[in-house]
Amino acid sequence: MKAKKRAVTILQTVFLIILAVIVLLPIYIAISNTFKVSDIILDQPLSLPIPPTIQNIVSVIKSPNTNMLEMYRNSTILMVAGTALTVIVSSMAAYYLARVKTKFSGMLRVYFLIGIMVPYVIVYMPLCILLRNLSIPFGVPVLIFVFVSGNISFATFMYTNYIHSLPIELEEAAEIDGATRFQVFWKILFPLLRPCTTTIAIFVGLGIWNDFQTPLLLGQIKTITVGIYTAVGPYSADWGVVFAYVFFAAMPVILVYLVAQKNFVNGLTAGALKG
Amino acid sequence: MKKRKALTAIALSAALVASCLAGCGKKTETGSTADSGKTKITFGVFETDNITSEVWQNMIDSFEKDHPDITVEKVLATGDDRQAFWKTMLSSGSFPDVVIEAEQLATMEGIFTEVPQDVQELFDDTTLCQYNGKCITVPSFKQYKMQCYYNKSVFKDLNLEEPQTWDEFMNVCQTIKDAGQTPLMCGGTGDIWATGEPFWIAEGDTALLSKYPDFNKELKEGTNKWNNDTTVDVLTKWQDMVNKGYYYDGAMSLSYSQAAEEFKKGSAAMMVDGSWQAAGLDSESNEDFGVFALPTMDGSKITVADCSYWGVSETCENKDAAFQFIKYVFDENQDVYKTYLQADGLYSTTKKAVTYDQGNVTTKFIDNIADNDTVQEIVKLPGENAAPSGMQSFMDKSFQNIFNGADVKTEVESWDTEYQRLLDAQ
Amino acid sequence: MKKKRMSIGFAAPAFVIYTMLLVIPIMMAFYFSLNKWNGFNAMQFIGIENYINVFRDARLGNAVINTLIISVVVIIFVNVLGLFLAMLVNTASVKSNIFRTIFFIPFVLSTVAISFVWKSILSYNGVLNGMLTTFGQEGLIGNWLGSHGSAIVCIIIVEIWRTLGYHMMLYLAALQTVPHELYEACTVDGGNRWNKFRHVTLPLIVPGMTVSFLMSIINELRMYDVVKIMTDGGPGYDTETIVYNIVSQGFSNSMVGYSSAISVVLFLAIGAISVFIVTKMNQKEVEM
Repeated sequence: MKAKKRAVTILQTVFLIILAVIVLLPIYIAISNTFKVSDIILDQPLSLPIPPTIQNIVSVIKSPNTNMLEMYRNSTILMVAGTALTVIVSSMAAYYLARVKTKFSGMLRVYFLIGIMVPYVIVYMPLCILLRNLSIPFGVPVLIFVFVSGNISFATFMYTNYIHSLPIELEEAAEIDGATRFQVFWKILFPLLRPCTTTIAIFVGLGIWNDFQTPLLLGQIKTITVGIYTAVGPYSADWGVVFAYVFFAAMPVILVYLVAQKNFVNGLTAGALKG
Repeated sequence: MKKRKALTAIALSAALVASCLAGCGKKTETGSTADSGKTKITFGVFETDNITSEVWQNMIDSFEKDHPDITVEKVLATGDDRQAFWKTMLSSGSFPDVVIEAEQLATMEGIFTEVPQDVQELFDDTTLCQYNGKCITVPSFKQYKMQCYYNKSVFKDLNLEEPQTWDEFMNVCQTIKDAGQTPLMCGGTGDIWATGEPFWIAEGDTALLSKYPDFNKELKEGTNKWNNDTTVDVLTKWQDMVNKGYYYDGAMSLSYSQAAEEFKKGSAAMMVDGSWQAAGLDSESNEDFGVFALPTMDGSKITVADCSYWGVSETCENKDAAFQFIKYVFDENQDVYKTYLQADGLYSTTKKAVTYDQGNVTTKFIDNIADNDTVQEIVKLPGENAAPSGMQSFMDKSFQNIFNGADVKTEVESWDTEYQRLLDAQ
Repeated sequence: MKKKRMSIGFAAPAFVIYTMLLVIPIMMAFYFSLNKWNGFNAMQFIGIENYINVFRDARLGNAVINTLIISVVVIIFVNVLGLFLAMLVNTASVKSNIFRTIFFIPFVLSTVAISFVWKSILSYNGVLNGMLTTFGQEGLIGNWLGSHGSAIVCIIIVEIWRTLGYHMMLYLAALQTVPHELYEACTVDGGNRWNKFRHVTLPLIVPGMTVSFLMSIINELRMYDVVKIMTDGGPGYDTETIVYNIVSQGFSNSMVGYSSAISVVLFLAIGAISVFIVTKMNQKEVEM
């Protein structure tokens, strides 16, 4: 009996190891080949990059058609501003939705929920035309608001549920002390929302950082994803350079993920589970 | 009291949104007029391996030097589908003032403004064209399309000559195949056009246009169809070539640059490609490759040469400055025009012809077709009888289907359906 | 004490942004879908003609079939394998933790980066064929991304690889809600592994399963990035998905009305499927 159990455990571990290798292999290939010259890549794709070369990285940085700094800047601005704005407006809206029990607030809640099901492709063309009619040019500022609009549904929903689970007494006590609603929210409630905020920030932030379709179709804003997509074109014959681009896109995310792994998992799954 | 707070909050948030919107909105206005009394125009371009950002920068810099009161801002079309990019810009109202590939967009009414007489006069009359009786675009260059590049050493080893007829070409392919090598290279999923378009332009357009010189007109009037014997014949022959294994096995998963790279590495002996390849080979002083005009199937001596067109947007606020820019490039300082042409192996369309020193491959390319009549590619023909935009990419996909074994007749039938559908929609 | 009234002002910023940039565009799409319009010239009202065409469009039909093939295979795969994996790593050991971390990595990476990596592996002159040559297995070399039939398999593999870890995590979260005592009770009753799974685990993770199914359906129906980068819908139409079709109709062919009609249908379909699954699974939960 015991021996059988042992055998099963070993079998399980072997299975998991094989699967882990399969999952990691493409990532390993991408990272190790970034530091190899292109000729070696096809002959020995699995070998370690010894001696490593930074030739590929250098040619990416030096390429006249790519501006890595600009891409990182755009992506960072979009991610930070988009996430911050989403958190602010959604948490405030959720405060209203969770604490006011009127028919109107109920309706508003459903109204915000509809957005979760929307296949985003439906709004690209109308958005282009809307911007034209308002004579707003494409650009990072507009895109920030577009990202916020796309994430409000999810974030508001999460915050509303979370605020529901918090006792109202604290807020009432603060109000008796003469605090305004605004103060109550920012000074008392918002700090309590921190776990929820982390979850939302990761979900929204990562979503914006990795988004490809939205910046591509709304004016081809050079974010890291769109930038790499357009830059790889002329170099697609040289895998070393392609891998170097991928390296630039993926490395920040992998590093942050390994540091804040728990938060990532919560952030990306909690949303789905609550929904 | 409470009510006032509510109102304040609403007002604040409205102001937040409004200020953002207004802030962005202002940018266009100040953008197109002046920061310091300067006029600004936007210039929509694309870049390739040959036409790099330096070519445009050179053009813009020298213009700004000679016209200090005007600044030119480059708008770079990115992504793989440039037509889609321009249309997005159009839908969003961010369309550049001057656009360098206007021929397809010009079929939609009201996008480009009429070209003044003095600007029209700079160009060769045969290259000018009209849409609804108005000249709204200027020809920027003429480009000779698809010929067949070949690996000289393979031809030498197998004792092959440049083929003069279609049958000879087939023999060349078969000989290379029999020698255990791959005769032809093309691109695939990475760059959809690179699969069938080069072959179609060299064989299909020439065959159709030698039989029906007014094919575009007939197509538009409904007196002719894509689905005719000539089209089916050309494509069936092409599919046969694929089935005989003349094409590189992995062609369909290559992008254009990968295909060109593989060709240069010797993975296939021949590749049908445009004159830009000749310019590219010359700039590397690469002597390993030769080029011959792909013999037409019916033996007719015609060659496809396309003109490309620039247009000035109807919504441009400084049309004078925009045309000044055009006059500068094509007339006042033809050095920048020359640099542009030379970079991609292009030919001038101006009355004051511009020439430059051609490398060996380019010279050979031109010699090959010196005696031929030139015609415009069917889907790129500008003017009244232009094909609806979207037709090109539809055909490119269809070529891939045919390459992978789809029924030629059914595919060509779908061309007619799509042609009508696209025409209808525009 | 007089209760202070909550100000609607709190909800206003979110309301304005959400309405302006999401709800109004959706309403615009509904409106466009009833018109023939190229996005630039005058609109022409044509009623439901676009919708009739949606159901006649062979190329779109092909895209729908592709999307369904990809979705069904991926959904089955990631849910079955995801649940299985979740059960294997549902222990509090360091080992399990490492495996979880590894399996989840692909999901945090951008689809753009992932697609390029896989493209470089699967291309004809890519890493996989290079490896086969090195090991002397030239006979196995294939034109994976360029042949009829195999391209869609490549897309499916990449999608499974990308989302497996995510669904594992969803199931893991569901499994952790199952009280341990129930397993013990089952053991006492003489239940084997299968009994435990069938009578304890499965009924209790139905909510988690609903979520996992729903997420995979919604994700796969919206599939675009991987296809766009790896094959650009090709060869031919072999890997075109619904969203790919909408984008090319709308942006490349400037059929704004028609592409809006397709996206409206997609919107309604996703809505209907979501409602259907949620209600069906709720019933199941009661039955079990």
